Amino acid sequence: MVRVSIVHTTASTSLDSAPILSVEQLYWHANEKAILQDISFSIAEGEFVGLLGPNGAGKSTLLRCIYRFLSPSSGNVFFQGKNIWQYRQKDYAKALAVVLQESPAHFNLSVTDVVGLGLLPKSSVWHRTSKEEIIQINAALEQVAMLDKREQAFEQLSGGEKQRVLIARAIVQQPKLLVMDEPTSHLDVKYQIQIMELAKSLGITVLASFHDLNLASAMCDNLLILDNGQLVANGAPRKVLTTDMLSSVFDVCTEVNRHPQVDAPHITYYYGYRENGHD
Amino acid sequence: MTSRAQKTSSNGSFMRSLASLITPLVLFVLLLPLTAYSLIVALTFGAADINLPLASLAIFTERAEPLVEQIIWQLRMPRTLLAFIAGGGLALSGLMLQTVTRNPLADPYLFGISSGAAVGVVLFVAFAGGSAAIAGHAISLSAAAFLGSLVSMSVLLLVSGSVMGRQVETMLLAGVALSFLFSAATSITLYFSDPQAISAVLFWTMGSFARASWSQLILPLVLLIVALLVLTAFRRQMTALLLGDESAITLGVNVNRFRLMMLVLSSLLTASLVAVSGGIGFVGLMIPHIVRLMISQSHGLTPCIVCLLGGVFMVWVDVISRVFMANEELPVGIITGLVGSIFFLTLLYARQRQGLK
Repeated sequence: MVRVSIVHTTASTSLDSAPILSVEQLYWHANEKAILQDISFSIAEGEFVGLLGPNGAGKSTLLRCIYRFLSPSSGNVFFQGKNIWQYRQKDYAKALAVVLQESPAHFNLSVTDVVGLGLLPKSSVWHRTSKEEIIQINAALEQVAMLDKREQAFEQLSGGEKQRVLIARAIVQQPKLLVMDEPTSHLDVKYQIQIMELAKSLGITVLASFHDLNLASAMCDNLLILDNGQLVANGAPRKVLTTDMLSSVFDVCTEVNRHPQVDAPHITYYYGYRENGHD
Repeated sequence: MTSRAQKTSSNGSFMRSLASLITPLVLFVLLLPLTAYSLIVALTFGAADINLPLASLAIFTERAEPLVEQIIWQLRMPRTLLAFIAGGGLALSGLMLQTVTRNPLADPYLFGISSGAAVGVVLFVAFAGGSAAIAGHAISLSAAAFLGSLVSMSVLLLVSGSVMGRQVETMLLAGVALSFLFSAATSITLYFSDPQAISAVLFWTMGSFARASWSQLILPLVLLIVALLVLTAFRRQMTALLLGDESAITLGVNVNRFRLMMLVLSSLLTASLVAVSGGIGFVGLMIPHIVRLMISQSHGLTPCIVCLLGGVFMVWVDVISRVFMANEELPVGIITGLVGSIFFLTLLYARQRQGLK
């Protein structure tokens, strides 16, 4: 009995430690110019990983290489041990859901229509949406507190509501990995926190790019710092978020303390420093 | 103040309850009898006086007078059906193009399909020798128009082929440029043609169902049915595309392949219609918008509703074109343009008023 349970434990730990996503020596070029250079990292199952970096560092490009909008110039991305380009497009969409920064919306789509799209990867061409699936859509809307607006036009929602609807779509998609490209930019502070706590509450692996370093610090298990297309730091917030890193990558003068509520670094910015000609 | 506020709110709730009554199913069920009614009643309009009982006699029995029977079966029925297929087909084609380009102004002639067809016709008339050719060679004329449309479509796909997936805008610009190119070609050829040919071609470019015959219905009808099936089957992919290419890719849609399929299908459908009935504007732009004002585009019945509404609209436009002036026909393109633009402007005005409140 004991033996069996030991074997079982080892098996499950080895499964846990196998990365759900790993990126190996990834390069991406736009017209000869290297946008991403030699990026390698991996994400373990269940981790909440934040991607940070100044504007133009290549955050969106990296995410696009992961969700197959762009194919890398060289290097590979593996999802559960298999090269992502070896998946059928629909199968990859079943495993990975994406919430983008801004979604153009035209033509009078309702909130339910948008959330229902989460079923697309699983639906065959002649499939009619079943009662169970409608229940599933409503449950997802309930989870993001948008159930009462399910008949409203998507384009008339506020930025935060749109993001919540897109997260509901991702919930319906039932992915193993959720990728979010700056889901909180342009949002009020309240919604920035709300969206991230919502993503965290899903209990799946999340890779999200952030603008707000403190929010990333409070939410993430691990941080990836990109600068000029290169991965300059990778690790737990308390290891990565140092005054040195913040000054060299983000070009700001800071003091890093501990957040009074959560066990995470908290950054205080200093103003009026113009050493490097920036302000 | 209070009464005004109350009035607005009760008005609003009335509009809401009215809007909630218009479900796709209700709309579809209302449109079916309207379609049947329109298709039958339209047969009674025209130069010869044939009332509904006489027409029904000719349709459903074999006891009608030979002349009436001939008018109904050989002239008015193919004509009415062509109008219906053209209206439905153009509306579906508009729906496809508006969706895959995410451009609310897209219409079936976006990519120079009608100007390509015009070039085909004009060249044919110029080389076959004047207006006599138009009277005698309806089928070859249609073939020339179809060929012209296919040429313009192929050129567009070649020009924008490499950038297809990523840049809808490039494709739209290429389409506009092609339209101008083909229009110029048409003008040059017309400039050196005789006046009779010019008036014949002019009438043709404004659209008419007068040349309808049973054999010419086959190709447009087949393409219409294919388009309807494809749109119904791929309604989720269509909806996904409305939220952007990038988002559609993450939902597992092969965006490049899907867009190419939709462009080719809508172009073939439009080309087959332009070939037999000429260029009829505004229907393909207007009908999808009207349907979207009432119901969501993502519903499974939406393609059917768009098709039926476009068809019914066109059947009545054709009726107007027949009865507006005695002994003469008004080109349908003029009527769709007139009715359509007035309706559309009213709609936009009403929406703006609503927005200002």
